[in-house]
Amino acid sequence: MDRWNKSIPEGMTDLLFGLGCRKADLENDCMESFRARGFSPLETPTLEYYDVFDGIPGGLDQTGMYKLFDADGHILVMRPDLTIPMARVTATRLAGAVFPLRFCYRGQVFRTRQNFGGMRHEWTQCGVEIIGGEPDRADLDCLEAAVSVLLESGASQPKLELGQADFFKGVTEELSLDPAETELIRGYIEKKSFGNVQDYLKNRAKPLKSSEMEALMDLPWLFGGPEVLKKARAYTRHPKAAAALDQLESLHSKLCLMGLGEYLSFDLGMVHQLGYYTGIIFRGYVKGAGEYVLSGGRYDRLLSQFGMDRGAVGFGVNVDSLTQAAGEMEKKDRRASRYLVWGGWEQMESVYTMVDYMRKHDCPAEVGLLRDEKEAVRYAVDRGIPYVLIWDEHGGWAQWDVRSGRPVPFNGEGMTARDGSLDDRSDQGAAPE
Amino acid sequence: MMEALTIALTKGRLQNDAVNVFKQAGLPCDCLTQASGRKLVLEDPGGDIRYVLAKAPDVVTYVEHGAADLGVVGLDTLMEHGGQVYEILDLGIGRCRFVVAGFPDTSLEPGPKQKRIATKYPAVAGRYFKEKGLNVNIIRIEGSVELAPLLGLSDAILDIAETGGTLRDNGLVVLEGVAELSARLIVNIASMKLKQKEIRRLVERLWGGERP
Repeated sequence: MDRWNKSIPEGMTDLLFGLGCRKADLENDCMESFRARGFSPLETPTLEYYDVFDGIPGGLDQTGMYKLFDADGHILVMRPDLTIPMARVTATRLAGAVFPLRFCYRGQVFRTRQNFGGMRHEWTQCGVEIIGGEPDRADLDCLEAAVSVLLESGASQPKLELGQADFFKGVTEELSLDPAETELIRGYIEKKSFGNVQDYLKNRAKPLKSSEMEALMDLPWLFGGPEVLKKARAYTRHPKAAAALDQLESLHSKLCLMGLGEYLSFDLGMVHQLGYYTGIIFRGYVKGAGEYVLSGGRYDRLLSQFGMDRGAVGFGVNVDSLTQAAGEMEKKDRRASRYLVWGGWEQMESVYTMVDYMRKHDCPAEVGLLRDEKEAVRYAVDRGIPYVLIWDEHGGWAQWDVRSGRPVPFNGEGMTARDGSLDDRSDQGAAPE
Repeated sequence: MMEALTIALTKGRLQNDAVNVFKQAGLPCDCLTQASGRKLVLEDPGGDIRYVLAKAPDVVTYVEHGAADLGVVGLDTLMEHGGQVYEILDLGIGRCRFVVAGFPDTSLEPGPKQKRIATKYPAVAGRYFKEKGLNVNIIRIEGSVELAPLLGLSDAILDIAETGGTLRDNGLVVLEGVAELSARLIVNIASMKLKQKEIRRLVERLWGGERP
């Protein structure tokens, strides 16, 4: 009988060492960034009822979820998303709260996908939600948090791209297209198949006025710098579309004043999930990731699915995609051990006193777990630990520089700052004898 | 700074048609025309473009993951395999169509016995017959799908036809047209945003100077 105990299921990953450290750091950095902005951690269950995610307009496809049954026969899912559970919690428990509510979250999400497509079926998402509050202010705060988290990750060429659901909705309303037609054109625009949009509109039984058609035909290409907003204005007078452009311009000018303008761009052709988003839509890109690493927008109708009529805006970061792009990052693992401290079993107390001292001085140190000191040195070489401290038989500490392979006097030298500069250690007390 | 672009081309007949389209658009493709046959990555000496040759479904995979920025692939492959990519241009080459074909007297009406459809495109076939409301049994065949009805494995096939010659040679006829097909230019979602200038230039040349 074949056993599968040495394999992992399709779409799953084990993460170790360098990548594991990098992902852990990124995840913590994201959450720190959010907490510093007053977002409060919200944790929801990994297993939820299927009904929570089913039937959300513009939401997830039922075939995309990992499903299971509980003991009573209810259909459960491994959560495919973290925003919808947030809406569930808020609507069902927090009706009497003072708004706005500002939540941050981290957790695994699960989606079934094409087998052997190389895509992950499980990944870590970190994000924020702002429920309530004055919409323009909440949108601005959300965007500031999004740009910041991309910048703080250290990834290269971070870019936040903004769109607005009401622009497309306004243009199509102006043209009085029927829902099926609107959806067809929306699909073409989402894929940026400008050829299909053109062919369809030109061959339409009832021809449209050329100025109205141009708005839709150009939409797949309306992405880039703020000049696309000016271009878009020329196409339409519809109040909804104009208001959408006004909002984007206003957010842009504020973010520029905050020094974040260079990381922004626009894409008025962002028309995915229009049944879900009701205002700004945005995606974040970094170099080295083949897809967007951040995704969000305003979804004022989501909480009403759970019985609360309140608007919300938020975004999620795909920490695994960001980690993958981290190959482009320059940040090294700042918590890698600098010292391996080794002693005989009788000297364990001194060993722990020493590593404790080192750790209190911001110097990551590791206890040697091998019986033989030569093996300890070999281990340090393999792990890239630069210094080994050995309790020698004369009752003192002997330091070994692993790179040069030579003994060096122990005077705490290995504990200096990474770039070789000496910290001022005079006020931190002497190293233990 | 100009970013280099990697373009994945579907190997085979579509490759030659694509090369002609690129040549007409004035894109550097000497490395393609001088290709010896087995080399899969062809760099243009100018350094701006790199071509890679792959099988159709793999073109979608490479572009989806960002390993290639752009790809030339048939709509048949896109309809079958999907993919999170931008499908920006119909290149007008590789024109053919999806058809349902079988022996001339084949009926596709619902009846007591479930009809069997052999196809290389099970996802496309599944969607097509579901839309028609016809409950069929789909059997995946990798190639020479015409063989299936000849050997009695299936009642009909869903396959690509150009002139219909292969079908006729085997005594089969087109029973229904399903969709018009041609080759498309696909683009990786992140590349479109991060290499916008270069991609836009390339697309403008392929579109023939008409404003996209």
